[in-house]
Parts: sequence; structure tokens; C-alpha cells
Amino acid sequence: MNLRLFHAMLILLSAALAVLFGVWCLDLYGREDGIGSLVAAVAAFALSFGLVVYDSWFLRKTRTLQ
Amino acid sequence: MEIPYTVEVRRDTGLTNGRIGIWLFLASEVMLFGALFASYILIRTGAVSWPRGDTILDVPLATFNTLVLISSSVTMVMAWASLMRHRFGTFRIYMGLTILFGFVFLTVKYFEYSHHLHIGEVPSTNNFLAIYYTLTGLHMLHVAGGMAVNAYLWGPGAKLWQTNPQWFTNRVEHSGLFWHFVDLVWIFLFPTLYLL
Repeated sequence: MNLRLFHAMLILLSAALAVLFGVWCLDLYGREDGIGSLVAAVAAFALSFGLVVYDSWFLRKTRTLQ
Repeated sequence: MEIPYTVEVRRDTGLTNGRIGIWLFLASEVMLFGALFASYILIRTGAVSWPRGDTILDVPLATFNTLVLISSSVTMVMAWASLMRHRFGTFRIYMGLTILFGFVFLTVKYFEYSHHLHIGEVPSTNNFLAIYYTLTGLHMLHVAGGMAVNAYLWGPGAKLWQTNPQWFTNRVEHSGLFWHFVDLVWIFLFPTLYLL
């Protein structure tokens, strides 16, 4: 596996982590009812989506780099 | 005497020696961190009670550090991609940013450690903190090691670009693989210690 594929895999795992963090924030919101947790959850889900978009862009852009 | 298979691939493995070397090294690193993660699971499942990480540790600070490390993996791969496209100036910028992100990560960790030590939360306080200091301390050493290699490639090591650009590009890729591994470890460490 080269750096290109390792990077793509790392970004996918980061997206999964962002989803997990979003769920954790929602759980915290349920327990403590702070608006900050809700905002953080939304930001985490948005980041996760952004990372997946970046990943597909990166793979397309670096197709010729092996 | 010239070192063989730094640029051309070996016929038997289909890889350069450098790439085999870095993957063997990373395999040994997986065993090291894997053993520590396994120890963590055993100690946690065997404990009568276990604290929630977010009640002891600073989650917002660690979240910031996670974003810093993910950003550093982007700049690292861009540094390598710049060399593949023969843009040495762009490589210098991206590699410099990668080193800077590493420095930011370590600085934040320094403040996090200082806070815990200041209020008397040391490794001997409880098992959770012992594991926290062991795993994050070892990870910090890896970040520092990766920064040292990247700084060498950014500075004096970059002379190789003039004489053998492909070999230099391969070196940057190997350093990038290590840096990505260090990021990968953090992606597992963060939820394990701070969230779960």
C-alpha cells in the first residue's frame, strides 16, 4: 500500500471518528442539555461529510500518482 | 558503494527496500501499540469501576488536537504529491506546515499534561491515569520522532533532491507513511481514552 491509499484510508477512518464524536455529543446533550453539545454534534456530522467528499476528490486528483 | 534498490524495485518483492523496511517497522509498531491497547482492555474489563474519560480529561482540547493531526496528514500527503509533480517549492511549504502542526499538537499536549500534574493527577493516582500517560506519552514520542525526520527532510536532507529526486521522493513517502501511522494511532486513542 502506498501513501496515497494509506491517506485515503486514514481520512475514511477520520470520517468514522467524526460520526462517533457526533453521537457522543448527542448523548452528552441528552444528559446535560447544553446547546454547545448540539452545535458540536452538527459540526461533527458536517465534518464527517466533508471528509468523505475530500477523500473522493483526493483519490480522483491523485489517480496518476502511484 | 551504492545502496541497492532505493529507486528501482527488487524483482523478487516488487518493492524498493525502503518501502519494505518502513512497512516492517510499522508492523512492529502495530504490535507495540496493540499490546498496550490489549492491556488497557484487560485492565478496564477487570476493574470494579472505571471513570468516564470526559470527567477527567479535556475533550475540547483533545478534539482540537485531533483536527490538527488530521490536517497534518493532509499537508504531509500534499508534500509528497508536490514532489511527484516536481514542485520542490510547494513541497517545502507543505512539509513546513506538517512540522508546524506537529509542534501545535505537542504544545497543546504540554498544557494538558501540565494541568493534570499541577492538580496532582499523576500516573500513580489510578489505573486510568497510568494508561493515559503511557499511551499518550508513547504517542507523543512518536510525534516528536516523526517531526525530527520531517525537519531533516525539509532542511539538510533536501539536498538529495538535486542529485537523486526519485530517491528523495521515496524518502518523503516513507516518512509520510510513518506520520500517517502516528495519526492512525491517535484516531484510536482519542475515542478510547476521552470518549468511551
